[in-house]
Amino acid sequence: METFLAPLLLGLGSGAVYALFGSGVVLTYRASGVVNFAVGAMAMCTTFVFAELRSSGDLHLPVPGLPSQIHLADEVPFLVALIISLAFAALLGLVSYLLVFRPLLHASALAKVVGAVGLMITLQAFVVLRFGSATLGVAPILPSEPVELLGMNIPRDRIYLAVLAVLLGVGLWALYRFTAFGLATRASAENETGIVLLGRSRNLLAALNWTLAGVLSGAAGILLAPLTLLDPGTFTLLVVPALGAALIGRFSRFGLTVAGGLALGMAQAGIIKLQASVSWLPRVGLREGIPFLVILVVVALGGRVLPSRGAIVERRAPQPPQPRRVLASTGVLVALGAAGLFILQGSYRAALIASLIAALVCLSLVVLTGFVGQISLGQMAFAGIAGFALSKLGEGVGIPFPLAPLLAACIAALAGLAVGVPALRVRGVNLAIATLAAAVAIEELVFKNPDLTGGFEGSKVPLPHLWGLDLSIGGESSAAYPRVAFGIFALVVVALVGLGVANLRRSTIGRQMLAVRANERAAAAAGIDVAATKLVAFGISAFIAGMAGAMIGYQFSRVSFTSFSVFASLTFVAVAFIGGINRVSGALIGGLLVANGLLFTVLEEWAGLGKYQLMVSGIGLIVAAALWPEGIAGAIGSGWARLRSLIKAPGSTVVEVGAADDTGAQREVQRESAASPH
Amino acid sequence: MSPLLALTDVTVTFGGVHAVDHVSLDVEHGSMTGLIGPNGAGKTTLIDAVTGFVELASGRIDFDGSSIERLPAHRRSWRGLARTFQSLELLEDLTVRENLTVAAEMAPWWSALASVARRKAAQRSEAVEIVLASAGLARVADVVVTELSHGQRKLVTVARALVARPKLVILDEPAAGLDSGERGVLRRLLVETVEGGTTILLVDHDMGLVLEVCDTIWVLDFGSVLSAGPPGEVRKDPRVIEAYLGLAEEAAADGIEGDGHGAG
Ligand SMILES: Nc1ncnc2c1ncn2[C@@H]1O[C@H](COP(=O)(O)OP(=O)(O)OP(=O)(O)O)[C@@H](O)[C@H]1O
Ligand SMILES: [Mg+2]
Repeated sequence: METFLAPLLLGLGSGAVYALFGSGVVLTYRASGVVNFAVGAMAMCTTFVFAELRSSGDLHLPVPGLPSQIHLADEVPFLVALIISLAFAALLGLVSYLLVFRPLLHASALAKVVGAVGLMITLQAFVVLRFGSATLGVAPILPSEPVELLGMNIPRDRIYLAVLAVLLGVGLWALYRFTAFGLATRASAENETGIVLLGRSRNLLAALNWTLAGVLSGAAGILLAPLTLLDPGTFTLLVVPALGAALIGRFSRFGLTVAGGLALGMAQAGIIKLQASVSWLPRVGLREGIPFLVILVVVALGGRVLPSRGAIVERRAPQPPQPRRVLASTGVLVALGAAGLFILQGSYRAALIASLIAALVCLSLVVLTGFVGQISLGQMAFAGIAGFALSKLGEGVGIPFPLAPLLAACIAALAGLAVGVPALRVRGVNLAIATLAAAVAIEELVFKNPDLTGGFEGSKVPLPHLWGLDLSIGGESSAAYPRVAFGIFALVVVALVGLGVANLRRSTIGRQMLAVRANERAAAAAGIDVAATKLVAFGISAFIAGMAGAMIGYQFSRVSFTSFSVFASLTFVAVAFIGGINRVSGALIGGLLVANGLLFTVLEEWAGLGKYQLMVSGIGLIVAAALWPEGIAGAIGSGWARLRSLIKAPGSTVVEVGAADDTGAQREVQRESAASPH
Repeated sequence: MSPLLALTDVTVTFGGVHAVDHVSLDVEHGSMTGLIGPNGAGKTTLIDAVTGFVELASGRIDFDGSSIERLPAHRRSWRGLARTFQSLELLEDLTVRENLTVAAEMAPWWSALASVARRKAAQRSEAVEIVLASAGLARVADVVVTELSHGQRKLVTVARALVARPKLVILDEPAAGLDSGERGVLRRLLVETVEGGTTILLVDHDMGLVLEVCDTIWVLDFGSVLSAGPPGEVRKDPRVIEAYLGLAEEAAADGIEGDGHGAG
């Protein structure tokens, strides 16, 4: 018993941090109805500010117009640094609410998730730009001399952290239970109109809660830093166990959230112990698999998790328009693309190819998110599955070229169905949480497992040859890299998939997808199998992502986990939304916007601006979520339509719609229907 | 011949509330059957139970010769059971024609998926155009439904239920919120539909409409059947007058006050 329990205590430290992050997530959910995917990123910012204050005495400020860093003193005492950092955290929470989440208060569930992901990316970009992506060591804050407990030496700070988390949980519970502030927040969570009766500003309450949540997660980050290494990626993705804890607390109970966080941390410590003694367990990733398992169980089996909020209105995402003149525009774009491939050289040609492949990933999101309204934050996991499958099928089994990538994409489609089945039970933000957690688990358990994928080295992908044509990117001599033939190959794939997606929109299944997205009850009443329709979308979307994964394999002649990270998935969500999530042209624009794509390669070569891609994506995503739900393609589309209607007949569309409402039209309608054939 | 729709001892509960309580009810082939009752009587819940939007606590539902209570909603729809919703439930931000087309296709997902390859996108369905015309919606066919007036949206939901030529269509308060012109369109649409061979189960608070067009009326109160029969009989049933019609002006005109008659 003792030997079993004692190792679990080692997990109390990270468990406490999950508990604090989770409590922050619960606070902001109750106050404003958004799930803060950026909780880890916010904590990371604060922690970096703190670490920098302690090590160099510089205060970094992400505020345009102010000097970017101020030298405070050569030696900043701990307490001063802590207070300044927490003030920064409070401000960060407040500003996040005012600039990101307040504008999304009445937005669709999808837009809220997207906005939060945008904030996450923006903060990550800020840290990478300001501090680099190197790992930082932070000196211990709490005393860590071991104390003997249950026959094992446990560092003291773990115990202190756990106690702190429990105390905070009790404190938050009491705050919500007994103070006017807490009561008002609870009232506002249950009913937006109720709060009006209470005579308190909902806005003020939400702002206060966000400030508090900022401090909480900032403090958690500062406390966590000495226990692990501080690097941007790890910290941002701590949102996954934090969401696990919040889910256990049903997004409303602080006590359960804290308990859930501690339990998660302890379970992780336990599994690491098991890993050392049980030979058949995977060597990597089990630790990260635990939160996914918890999330899967709570979300998929527990039915409705998020308590529904009495929202007054919910703005809906715009519907995908009917594609027009599909063949003609495909022809023009293919000609343009081919011309580009021949004219551009070296890094520009490589960038165009990268944009083409990225457009494929965006197309996969158009089907899933644009057409059916389902969100996936782990799309690159499907790409990765196909990529590694391609390596195994091509190099391992020796299946020839056109068959191997198609089979690989089919395997990705199967994975898509496997994710889709549990996803049938969840909607909106729960689905986002589940796919994010699944992507993290797949990355850690599968992609990073050297036995399966070759680890950092990756695994080789055979060169694509078709009927004696060499379609590979490198060819025999590296001088020719990147070869036009591979570019044309990518262009053809994108054109075919793009045509397919446009056709999908116009087909019966496309209409059914739109119906499901618009109203599941009405769709079911109209004879549409809602579950099957969603599954078909998951399958098609994962198939397309799988094609992208295979193309990525050919692009680098090998596949490794770095191409398929969770963070890559998130940035693809960003560019797909900025480009325009609801149409094929949006996906093409999205492809141009990726980091190694055409636009930022040009910006980098001409002005050295390439490093701002992540920042631009993050901010762009926030803007798209709040103001510009149809992205750049939508803006171009409606601008074009307005221009045309102005040229053709000024005001004609207005008359048409307006006439439907007046009684003259009513009589007309009746006369027409009386004459109808029967 | 057995009735088109037969409910036997159907019960639906929400928590402890028996919203529908041991209801047995028939709808005959080719009839226009009315279902009335005061607010909260359980009419909508009964429709949800028949069409697969709420689970039965107990009971059995037979439709067109086979039991359907275990089928999911879309499969009941494939069998020829259509409905409208009291709360509209339109496919918002689709056009009127798209709303109807989706319902008219009635395609299982595999054949819907196969249609991607067939590429006959622009083809217009004749059934859709006919229903658009008889519901008086031809002029607004390409307007997005959110731009329509409330009455027109109601008519879209009715048209959407009719477009797949169902055997039975269940309408939940189709006349609510219609102006007198639209009411006329609806009434004629209902009559034409029954003449065309489709059976209708009509739920509405517009007693004038229900009493005029229906040949049989079922009255529900507190989740149970209170009375049933031809309109002439039902409107004279003292229990019905007490529970429901007593509030309506016909009752006042007939000089009957609901006194001394037990409701259950
Ligand atoms: N989803 C639900 N959860 C809990 N109770 C419900 C639910 N739906 C309906 N009820 C209850 O069941 C009873 C019957 O409601 P129902 O909507 O079926 O009545 P109705 O006859 O359609 O009324 P109306 O004429 O107002 O439309 C009511 O007491 C209602 O409060
Ligand atoms: Mg009702």
